[in-house]
Amino acid sequence: MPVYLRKVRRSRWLLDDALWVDGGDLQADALQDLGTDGNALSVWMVSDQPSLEQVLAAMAANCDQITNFDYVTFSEESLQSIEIVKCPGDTADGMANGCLHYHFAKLTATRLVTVAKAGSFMRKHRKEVRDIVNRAIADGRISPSRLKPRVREYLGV
Amino acid sequence: MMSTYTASAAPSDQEQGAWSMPFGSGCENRSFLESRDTASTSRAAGVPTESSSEEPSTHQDMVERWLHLVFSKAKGERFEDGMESDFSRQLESAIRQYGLQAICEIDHLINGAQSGAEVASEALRWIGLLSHPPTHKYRLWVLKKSLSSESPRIRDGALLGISFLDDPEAIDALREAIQKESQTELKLDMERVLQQLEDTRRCQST
Repeated sequence: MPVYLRKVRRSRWLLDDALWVDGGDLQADALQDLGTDGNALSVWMVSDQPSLEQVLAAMAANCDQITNFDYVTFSEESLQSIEIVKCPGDTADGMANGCLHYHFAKLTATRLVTVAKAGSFMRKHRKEVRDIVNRAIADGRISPSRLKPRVREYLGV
Repeated sequence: MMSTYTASAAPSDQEQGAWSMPFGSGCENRSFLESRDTASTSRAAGVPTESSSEEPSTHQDMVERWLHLVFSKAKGERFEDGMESDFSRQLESAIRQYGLQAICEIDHLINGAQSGAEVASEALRWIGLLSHPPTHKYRLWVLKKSLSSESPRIRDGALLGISFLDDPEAIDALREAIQKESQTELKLDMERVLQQLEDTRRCQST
């Protein structure tokens, strides 16, 4: 069963004081990670471990530095009221851009909050991200020439 | 008129709490660091070196003003993991130019309520990510200390900074932080970083 992935920053979802937020609700800062454009939210579809790694590598390779990679995933059943539209992505991996990038479209404020509440957190630490990007380079999915200087330096490519 | 802060007036390591600053003997900035809680005194005095003069005072004032401005401006920035920002570039520049003096001020700003947890968390990530051997042990100290922050956002930033630095010297501090951590997700993540550091130590010893 595929899930949809969005890069976030976990610290925005961590409560400084959980007492003022009801169970099942979120602090508003978390919505900063769900910035929309044209009422659409950019997400990636992953269906298995290889596609997860492909997406993580593609997005991490776009960064200035290899660091941790925090993301939330949304299951399809939690998104029944959300229109999901395939559209090209913009990363260093052309195949991922063409096959795995989607938009949650026609989002209202209420729908966006529904999406936010449906997210499940994951974190990859820097060394895990490094290994994933290195595998993508070795497989020829990402060209080292697309990487930023500090990423190349850290990876030694 | 410049007053002088004397080392004998500084709190002991016990009074400072569990995290003592990793200074070698004779570090001219030790008294400055230990006097951070008496900010008005130390700021009036400038840099309390053994041979205080106008030059270091001006120097320290400049670092303070610069970093205050950098942290203040950062409140309007939106940070993304792995992406540089005006804030991260200024922070790196300050550390490379002013070393320990910059670290002291950054530590002060991270622990000050005026910075905001998001900016403090971002600062901790970048001081862990920076490759600058002369300030390594001071940056590690700030990161270890920040693991005991009241804010989980700051603790998360410190944890990430420690994972980037990948120095097994943080293992004891991390173990202590795991014992105290109240947020399940953060605690689990601390355990993963602890495992990473233990692996690094094993690699270093073989």
